[in-house]
Amino acid sequence: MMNYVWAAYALAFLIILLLIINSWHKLRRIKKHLAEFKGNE
Amino acid sequence: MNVAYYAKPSDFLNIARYLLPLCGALTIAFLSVGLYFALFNSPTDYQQGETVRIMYVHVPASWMALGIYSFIACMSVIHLIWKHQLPGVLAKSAAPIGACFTLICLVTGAIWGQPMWGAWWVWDARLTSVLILFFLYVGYIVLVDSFDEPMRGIQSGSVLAIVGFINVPIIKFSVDWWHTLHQPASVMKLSQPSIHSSMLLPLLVMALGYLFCFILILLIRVRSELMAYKLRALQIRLVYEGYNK
Repeated sequence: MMNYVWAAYALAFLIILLLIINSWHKLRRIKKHLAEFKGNE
Repeated sequence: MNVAYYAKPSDFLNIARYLLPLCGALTIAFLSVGLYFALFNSPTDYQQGETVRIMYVHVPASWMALGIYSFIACMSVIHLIWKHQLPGVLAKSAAPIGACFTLICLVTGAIWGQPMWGAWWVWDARLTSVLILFFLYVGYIVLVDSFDEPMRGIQSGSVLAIVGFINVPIIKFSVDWWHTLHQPASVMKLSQPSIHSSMLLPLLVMALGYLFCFILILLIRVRSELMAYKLRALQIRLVYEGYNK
């Protein structure tokens, strides 16, 4: 029965972790674009 | 204190810079304590055994799914009435987070359903209405991103979010209105919670962990959205100046 519990926790935290990584990556990418654009200007 | 002051994107970004590390610390603290209580320091159920521990990730995720959708609908109303940019951006940034919490709710519910009901999925009123909520989130995200002009996308998405809000009370009361396999409410009801405090405490700690996690991710996404608008405005200005030369 604990297998179901571990599977549920692993999947839940995997989804949260992927969302945090995706959001952080998006912020870094836009920061980089903005810095590049201001540099070129 | 004028609340509208904080609706100015540049001031919001300044506040967000201070709030981000605080929310990160609170998320880690609450989720660590919550996980310890949920996995090692809470009693098993006399009928469900160890599988009752799935409740501590499943139930707060469903609260977040409903809460975030209500937040999006609220922000959409404010955006449509007062034409403020920030509530629209907040709604747009909250949608992927709400979709992920709904997905967590559906996936952990399926994993809990298999040992308890003998099926991963049943077309029960509660499960079906939560699945519709997930589709509403996906529809909102797709609609908002399908316009060249970002604010027009947010305006169209706002209408969908407000119309889709009808699903929230349907989800909440589905277990009372129809005979379902899903159990009725045991925490959020008018009378006292019918859950023992030894189970209620880890549930509330995990819910707080999820809440701070939501605020953390929301702040990160709002920052990137506002920076993207700034970049777009600079690009448009450059093209306009080049055209006028």
